[in-house]
Amino acid sequence: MRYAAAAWIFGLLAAFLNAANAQDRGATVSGRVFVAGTAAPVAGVVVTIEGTRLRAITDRHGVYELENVLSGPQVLLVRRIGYAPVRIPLSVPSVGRVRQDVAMAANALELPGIIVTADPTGRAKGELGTASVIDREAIANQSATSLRGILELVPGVALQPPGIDRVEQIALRAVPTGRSASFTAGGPTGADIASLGTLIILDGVPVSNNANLQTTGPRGELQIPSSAGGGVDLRRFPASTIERVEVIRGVPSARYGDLTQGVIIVDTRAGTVEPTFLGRYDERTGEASLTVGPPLSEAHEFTTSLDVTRTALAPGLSEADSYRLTAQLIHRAAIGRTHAASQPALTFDSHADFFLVREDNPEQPELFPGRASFARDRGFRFSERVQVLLGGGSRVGLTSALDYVRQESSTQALVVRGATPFTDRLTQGRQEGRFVLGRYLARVGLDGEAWQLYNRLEAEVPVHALGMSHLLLAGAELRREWNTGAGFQFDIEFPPQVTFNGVQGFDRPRPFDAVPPVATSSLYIDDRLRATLAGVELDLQTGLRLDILHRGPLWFSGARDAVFQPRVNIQLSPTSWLRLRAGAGRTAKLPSVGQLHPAPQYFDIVNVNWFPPDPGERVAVLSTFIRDPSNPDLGYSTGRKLEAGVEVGGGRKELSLGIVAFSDRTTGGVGIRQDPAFLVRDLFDLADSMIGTGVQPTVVEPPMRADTVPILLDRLANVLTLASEGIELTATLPQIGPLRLQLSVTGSLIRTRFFSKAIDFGRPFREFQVNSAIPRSPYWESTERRAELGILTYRLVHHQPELGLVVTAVIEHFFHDVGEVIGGSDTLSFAGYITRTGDLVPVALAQRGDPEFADLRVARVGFTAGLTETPADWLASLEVRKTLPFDGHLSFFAFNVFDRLGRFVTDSRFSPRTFPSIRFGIEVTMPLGPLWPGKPGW
Amino acid sequence: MAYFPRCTLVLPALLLLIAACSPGAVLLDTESTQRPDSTQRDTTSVDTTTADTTVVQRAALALTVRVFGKDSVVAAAAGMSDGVLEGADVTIQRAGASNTQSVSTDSGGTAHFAELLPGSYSVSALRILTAAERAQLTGPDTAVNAFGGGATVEVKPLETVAEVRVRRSGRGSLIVSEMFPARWLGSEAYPFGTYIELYNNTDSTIYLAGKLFGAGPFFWWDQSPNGISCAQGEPIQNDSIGLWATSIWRFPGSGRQHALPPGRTAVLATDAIDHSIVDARWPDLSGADFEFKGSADVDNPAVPNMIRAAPPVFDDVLGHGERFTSLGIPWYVAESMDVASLLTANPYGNRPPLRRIPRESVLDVFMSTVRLSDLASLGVQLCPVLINDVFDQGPAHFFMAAEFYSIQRAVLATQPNGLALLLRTRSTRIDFFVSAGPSPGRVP
Repeated sequence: MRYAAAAWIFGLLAAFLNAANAQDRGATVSGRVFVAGTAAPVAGVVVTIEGTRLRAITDRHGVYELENVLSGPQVLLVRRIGYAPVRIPLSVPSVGRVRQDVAMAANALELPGIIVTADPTGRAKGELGTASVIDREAIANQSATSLRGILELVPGVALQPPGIDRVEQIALRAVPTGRSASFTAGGPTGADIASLGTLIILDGVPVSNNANLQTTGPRGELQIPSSAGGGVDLRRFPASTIERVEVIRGVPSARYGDLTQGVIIVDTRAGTVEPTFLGRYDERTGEASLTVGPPLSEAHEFTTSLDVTRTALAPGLSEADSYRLTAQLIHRAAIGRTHAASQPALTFDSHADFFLVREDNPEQPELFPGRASFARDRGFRFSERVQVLLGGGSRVGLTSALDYVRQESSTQALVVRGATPFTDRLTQGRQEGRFVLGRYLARVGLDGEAWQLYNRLEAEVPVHALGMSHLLLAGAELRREWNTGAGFQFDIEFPPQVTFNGVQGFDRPRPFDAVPPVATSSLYIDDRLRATLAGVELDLQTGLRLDILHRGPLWFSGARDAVFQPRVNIQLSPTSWLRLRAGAGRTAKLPSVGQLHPAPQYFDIVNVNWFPPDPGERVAVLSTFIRDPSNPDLGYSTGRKLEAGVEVGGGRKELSLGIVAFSDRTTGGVGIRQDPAFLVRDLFDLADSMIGTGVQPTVVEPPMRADTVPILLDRLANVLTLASEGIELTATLPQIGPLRLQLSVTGSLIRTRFFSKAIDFGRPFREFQVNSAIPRSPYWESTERRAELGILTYRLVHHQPELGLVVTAVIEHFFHDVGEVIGGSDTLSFAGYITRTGDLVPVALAQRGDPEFADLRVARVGFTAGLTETPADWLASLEVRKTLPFDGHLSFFAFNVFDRLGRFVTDSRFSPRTFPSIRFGIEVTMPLGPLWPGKPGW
Repeated sequence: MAYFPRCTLVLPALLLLIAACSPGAVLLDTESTQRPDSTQRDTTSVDTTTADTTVVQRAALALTVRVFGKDSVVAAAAGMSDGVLEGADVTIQRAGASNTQSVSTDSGGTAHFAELLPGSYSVSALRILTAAERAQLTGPDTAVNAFGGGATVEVKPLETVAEVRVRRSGRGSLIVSEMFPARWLGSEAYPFGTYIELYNNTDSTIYLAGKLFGAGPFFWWDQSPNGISCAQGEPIQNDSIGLWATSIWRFPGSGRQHALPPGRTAVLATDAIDHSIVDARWPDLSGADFEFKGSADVDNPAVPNMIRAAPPVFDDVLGHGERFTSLGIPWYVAESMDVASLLTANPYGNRPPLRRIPRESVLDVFMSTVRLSDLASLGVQLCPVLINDVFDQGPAHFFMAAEFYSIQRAVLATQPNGLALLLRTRSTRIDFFVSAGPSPGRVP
């Protein structure tokens, strides 16, 4: 079946390439570009159709012409250094010619319709699903330090002060629900599941968190700050080097895999870029960034960028800080020209990226003696994209990338232990142990590397038949992700985890070289159809994707799991200002390397526990059992995405409104399923056990008897479900001309449910494990967590072109915020019981009141079921942006300008809401082109 | 928070415990929690906790110490007439304040306080009988050695007149003489070194085998809607017929085992090990008389283990048996009895039931809660009844979250045989004081 599908898809790919024909399709868009307010032509202007590779450059008369523009709604992008970029929505007919003249302003503020928010009705390139498109202008006005700050323009994403304080992740279309009480320490939260299922594409190559080394670490008290179990840490992407961000919240095309939630496509600044310095400072964060893209030649473009950022984590209290250094080199070689010199025949895009994100929390001996941690992630990525333009607008592309991240981290703390038997044995067997007692410094270190090898072959063929325009896309991906390095390390003499009687399985030091690689392959095909039927514009995107997880470390090994993912998006435009849209699709997310190959669990069972006052008389004997928690059935988690919406308008200068209702459901999320098992515990008599003799008693062999100790194996399984539904609003109102005021509104109301199929053994299990007199212990079905969050964000932009001033006020209104924990807690809520040999026996509800189950009718403690509401509240931020000479900008920003700290309601049904306190800052953007030696004419 | 299992039930507890249970959250004013001394005087009448510079109308307070019923008969026999007690030491402390004032009653049995800030005052009164007064008593009344009691009084300008009811008290028998509740080593919790010390306050040997020890319910502020409310708890808290137990331990052995001679102590340790290894301030309890063994606990074979006599209402979260706290839990010691036959109640719904120890079987009760000076900052209202006054006429306010301290019972007198006679008015507030450190096995 799998191979048949592969053959089918590759056959289709070959057919596309053969089918490429040279006949003209689509319309021609042409026009003249001139300086606003005059008739002076602007030469050398790059004119493109957004989401396509169609490109033209104006001649000395300012004239451009784009051929083969597909019918339907399109966006014309017009750019020239020194001028404000222009973005014009177009409605392109199936055939014929469209004339569109463009007025370019030397100063962006001279344009009447300045917009500094995400495009409310935009589309990601080649995508029909709901998306937010954030271009350079919006990014520059966002006072963002990293990608996380840029994403605040997406509906439902809360504002945060700029900085790189802590690990930042994004969960699209999901509300954090917290952790269910039934998940053991280290288990993922709903936010983790959502963010891990959010795909991030950087310059055409996926950024993966699947090999995050810290997902393979020890469970326990010492935690290392990381994005383990969740998405990519967004701090590594500086906003200053980003050109454009597309956030596909709806159903993505089949081109994108390894996701359940959505796709964030990040394009960094490339091509000819005037050297630009950006500096930012507030009381906690300082940032300096430089981007340079000198015009080398017609065939070569070279861009480099550098960013250095530091955030003080607790200024005035400690020296703790986060530090980021990123560097990027981009080279593009365009060889040969076709189609009126508008597009090169062969393009090589080479990217070299480096990042370092370090978080350092040094010890504060006066406050928290012994407590310290650091995390240092640094990585390189090399990617090469080759694109061959064939006749008739067809193209073939090959992308290869090697991603390397080295993770070093350490955390330490003083721990205090009551007297506890302990063994440092690393193999199975029994030996005399020792007693841990008192206070000592426990430290965990990590040193390892995460690797990803990524390859994609893709072909795109435009086809026109029966009055319909098709854009066919097919491709194949090969990925391999693996770990190397020394791994987790800690001094076994001072363990970070100690448990009595070994009933909890903990970890021992583990080298990452022992973790096998994970290989995946994918095939996809996608068709974008455009047609006009009875005056209604039809836009239909259908696709099918197949993701295969291989058994072995290479792609020719057999399939461990495979998921077919059909996807469809449709849009009907009965008029030029109205669009009705819907989408449905299936997605899949790979388990992480650490989840597929978890560390073994060590159980240290106490056989002898003899602790008289004289240390010389004490005896501890422990048996070490090693259990492998890996799960051969672990496979992809899958997402089901549905959405429907309506859009009115579509231009930036006019009213636009988009409302989308969605329902996303991720099933098979990877969580801990505690599998019951049992260990045999030998119990021994002691000889010469007279207390006070100073003589250590001897253990009498063979054991006098044995009993069983039930244990729970933390097996990772596809047990989690994350379901969200909601509605999203994006709207931009027409500018109030005399006031030069424009309002845009984004918002969302989302309800998320997060639950596990795993069993909850509850608190009684602890006593049951070590008390052999207890024959059985109840278990319960897992609890469910729900959360509802409603956010409306108002962005009010006022501009004064004559003063070169833009004032942006952002008000975020949390109008609904509710959390709920659902689970049976009465004495009849138990679902069954576990025996001392690990057997699970369900008990029907009707029988739970029977006298024979009286011992099972006990409290279910450890969570509090009920509804908790967080009071409605609002937060306001302000930015004032002033132009400087040479098109520079100076911005003052104030996060939480009214210093609202949140509402605290004494009613216990309410949770307090807290906001970060007011933060003032300044940002300078200064083009350095005029100062550049030789002034190459930016 | 995990170390206060009784706290974990209720959401309001979270708010309180953030403030009360975290290290460094509460400042200790040790002197203010010393047992009030009749010679101690507050000459300033200035409440240092009030920084408000606006003029506040001051009040006078006249407190008359009275006895009623059988107590008045005994008082009269001792030479005190009209049902009032002359020479009683009356100590007051305003809620939210750290200082106390003490005044002795006049011939009319009244103590006069002046220049007080309005507010709620905790009042305790103690009248120790002199040898001459005791000599006038006959029959069973010869065991009476003091009158004591407490109350809460709302003081309003310009003058408030109130009465404090005191009851006669004897020496009791097996009584709590010390609790060591400290559990913080800097920022790290170490709740395993706590203990309670019992004392034989009689002239005859007490055999501990089979006797009961345990804790009562933890509800001392309104925990509704997610926990038990004051109104719900009142029938249990205010039950004068018996004390409702959430945990019941039985001393091991039977018959005349585990004898406790007069003037001797028995130390009940959470873990009977040498805790000074962990921190030099902590006691060596390896020579304790009994220990509580939990599911995750080393066993000192030299020390007999207490035996669980009934399923605990609240989990033993850390698996070390019983850990002692001075935060809102009454600790009791009782005569031996058949636990299975005790009356049960289930105010917590889905937990094992509470069991009622009959009043006549209860030998002694120790009850302490949060300091008065911390009440205002906690933002919660204590329930009007913490425990029925037949068991404790005045629970103490000794709890200090992060401090190292012990709580000891005061010595009433030293007997001719050299043994200490400990004060037992059945009011923890009067009978106990805060000491700087533990002294297991020794009385002051």
